[in-house]
Amino acid sequence: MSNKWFVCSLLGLMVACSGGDTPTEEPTPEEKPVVETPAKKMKKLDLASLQKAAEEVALVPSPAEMQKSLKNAGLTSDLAGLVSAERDISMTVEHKDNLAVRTGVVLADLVLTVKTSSKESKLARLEKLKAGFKALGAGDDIQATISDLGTQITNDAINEDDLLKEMDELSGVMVSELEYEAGEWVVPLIQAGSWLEGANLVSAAIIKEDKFDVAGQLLKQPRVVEYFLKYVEREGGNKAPDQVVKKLTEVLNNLKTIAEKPSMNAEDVKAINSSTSEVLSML
Amino acid sequence: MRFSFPTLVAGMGLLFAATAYATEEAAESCLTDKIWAGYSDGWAVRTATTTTLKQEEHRVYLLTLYAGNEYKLQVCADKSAKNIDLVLHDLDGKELLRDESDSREPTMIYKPEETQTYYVAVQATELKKDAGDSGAGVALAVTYK
Repeated sequence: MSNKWFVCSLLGLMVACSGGDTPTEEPTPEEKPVVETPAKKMKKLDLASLQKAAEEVALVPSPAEMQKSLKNAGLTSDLAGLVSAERDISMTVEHKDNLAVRTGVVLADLVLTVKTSSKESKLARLEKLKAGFKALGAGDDIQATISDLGTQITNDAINEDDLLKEMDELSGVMVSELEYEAGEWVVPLIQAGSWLEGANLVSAAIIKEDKFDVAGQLLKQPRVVEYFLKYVEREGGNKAPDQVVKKLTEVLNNLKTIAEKPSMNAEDVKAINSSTSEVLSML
Repeated sequence: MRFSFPTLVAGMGLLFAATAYATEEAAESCLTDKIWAGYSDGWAVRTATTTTLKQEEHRVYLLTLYAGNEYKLQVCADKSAKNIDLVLHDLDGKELLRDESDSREPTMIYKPEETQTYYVAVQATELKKDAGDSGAGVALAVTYK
């Protein structure tokens, strides 16, 4: 029997080692009952767990999504047609918060007008973007990507649909995935610039078409505004005096108050339009 | 340009995936193909992000969704994943939609009734036994139309 225990421990065949001389008979495959293991399912998460774990990388809608929302809400305005053609945003400012906001506005304008603007206008906006990303320390990869896009546009080597996809990816994916030397606050402030421009254009479209009943559907985003404020008002941020950032902070606080109201009326939409215009006119 | 820089070397990423299971590059490459394919059906990309999840680990993302738009949440995980789950919650934490598949590439479509901020949770519910401690590369995209 001593050999028997040796074999047991060696092979781990405890059933075969149960003592009897008659080995346990294995059922044939046909006889084996089919027992399906229930698939594991994700555990339920309570609100506290969701709040604790929540990341904001996907919080802010893109400018192109704002355009789509406008159309789906029944408005006929094209945001591209409302983008200021005269505005020439300088990218040579020293203040990095200010520069990030400018970069976001240029990005929004580029995305929104990609199908309607001239080749020269697209190239000019791409150059501004490049300058903004460079000054914010976004690395060489995005410079190369923008240069490549510029070359394709110059040589008519990319059609409008493909260019639109590239712009979607640039604004919605690449910008938020990059690491910026200037700090983690750069992405939210670029997004703030794009969102501010989008909110300004959407509110202008609502006013133009007198469609105030859909204002809440298109502009009521208190959580987004809070997210921007968290970074604009951050502790240890760029404390050098800057009029654009000061105005932006004031405007975002006003927008938060409006967005937290149960519903939005015509006066609210006009207030959003005029206050966002104030910031944009300073760029 | 693909959806992030590692995907520029997608071919290299796929080769890498064959020898080392958990790669975010493989997940990204899979998702990028889906995003591009979606454009022909009118879906545009809003956000895409990549992470690594260990067994039963999850990530939660805040999403602002517009009433009137239709949203598709798509996930791709690398080969070390067996079942990735996706659950959409409203801002009060109430579950609105749950992916019931046992897939490592779940998809959910949602058309919100009100413009609101939502939570989407992504969990590596089941990884393959040989995934080891490195977990699975998991990529999530939010597309809309």
